[in-house]
Amino acid sequence: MRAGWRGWAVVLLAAALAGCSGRSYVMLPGAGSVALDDQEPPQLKHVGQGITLGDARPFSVSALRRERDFERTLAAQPALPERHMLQLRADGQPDAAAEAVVQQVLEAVRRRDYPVVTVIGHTDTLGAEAANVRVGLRRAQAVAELLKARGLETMELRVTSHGERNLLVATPDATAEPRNRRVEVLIR
Amino acid sequence: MNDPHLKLLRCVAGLPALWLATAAATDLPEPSGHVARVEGAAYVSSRGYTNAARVGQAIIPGVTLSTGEGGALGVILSDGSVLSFGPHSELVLDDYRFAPAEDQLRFDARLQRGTLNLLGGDIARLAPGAIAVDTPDGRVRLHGGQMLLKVVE
Repeated sequence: MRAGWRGWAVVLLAAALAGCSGRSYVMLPGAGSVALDDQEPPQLKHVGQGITLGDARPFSVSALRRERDFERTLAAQPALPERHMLQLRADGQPDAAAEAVVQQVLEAVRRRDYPVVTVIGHTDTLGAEAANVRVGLRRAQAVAELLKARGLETMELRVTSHGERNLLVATPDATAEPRNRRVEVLIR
Repeated sequence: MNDPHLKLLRCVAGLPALWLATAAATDLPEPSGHVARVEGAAYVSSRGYTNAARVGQAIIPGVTLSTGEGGALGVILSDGSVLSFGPHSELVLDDYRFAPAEDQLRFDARLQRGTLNLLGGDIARLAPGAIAVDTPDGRVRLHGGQMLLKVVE
């Protein structure tokens, strides 16, 4: 009786595995959340879970399956982009800590074979939106000049502004927030 | 040398060059990102031309990224999103725009086959769910973090 039950379990398990491995799926290897077919809220929220496309219930993805399907894919992941932040004083000049950040940026650039650097200016929500785009661009240009003066060598240097549309600290409109007045250097 | 006719001639002669430069600038959109890692058979197809992928190569909207037998590819986009592909994969980047100041955050791609590892950048943070990857079996939206996607033909 017991052997029969085991036999059935093996058959069912084999059928389930065969069914799974033949279908498209998405999984979370780390923190994250994923929605299928525009559903809200996202169905996939827990590390190690997967969901078959066109299906509804998440399942636990075995380490074996994950390795078989994604080992090469994960191995091809390039060095992750680095972000460095410079805070600005009220007069728009970089603060005392800026010099150390500049050195970190230069070192990060030297570590890469093909460094692409983007300098992004940000503002708080005080003032008109269009004016803040210009203020952000001026801040970014000032930092780009500082980096070049310190010997930045890169394949591509982009200077841009997100104005008040990419806040570090969420605030309502027309709010002074020094932490949002910043320049971000993205190295990738 | 100060002949005004000569000056005019120089000026007019310079015009086609200026026009060409402007035409080239409008024809080629600003790169959305670049190739950051290549292993074996990996290709970038754009405007009907397919080339072996090179590290540093620009990625623009409309591009098809693919890998063959034993190939793998890694790409970084301008919002800091990172993509990598295993062998026998193909992805079309239909639309990509990262311009928060203009309220434009778009990332629409199609994974036709193979495997994709995707770490969401600023687009996922500023507009959760804006990163959409269509597959023959349905659409997947990344609301944040990292996902692995496999499409079985």
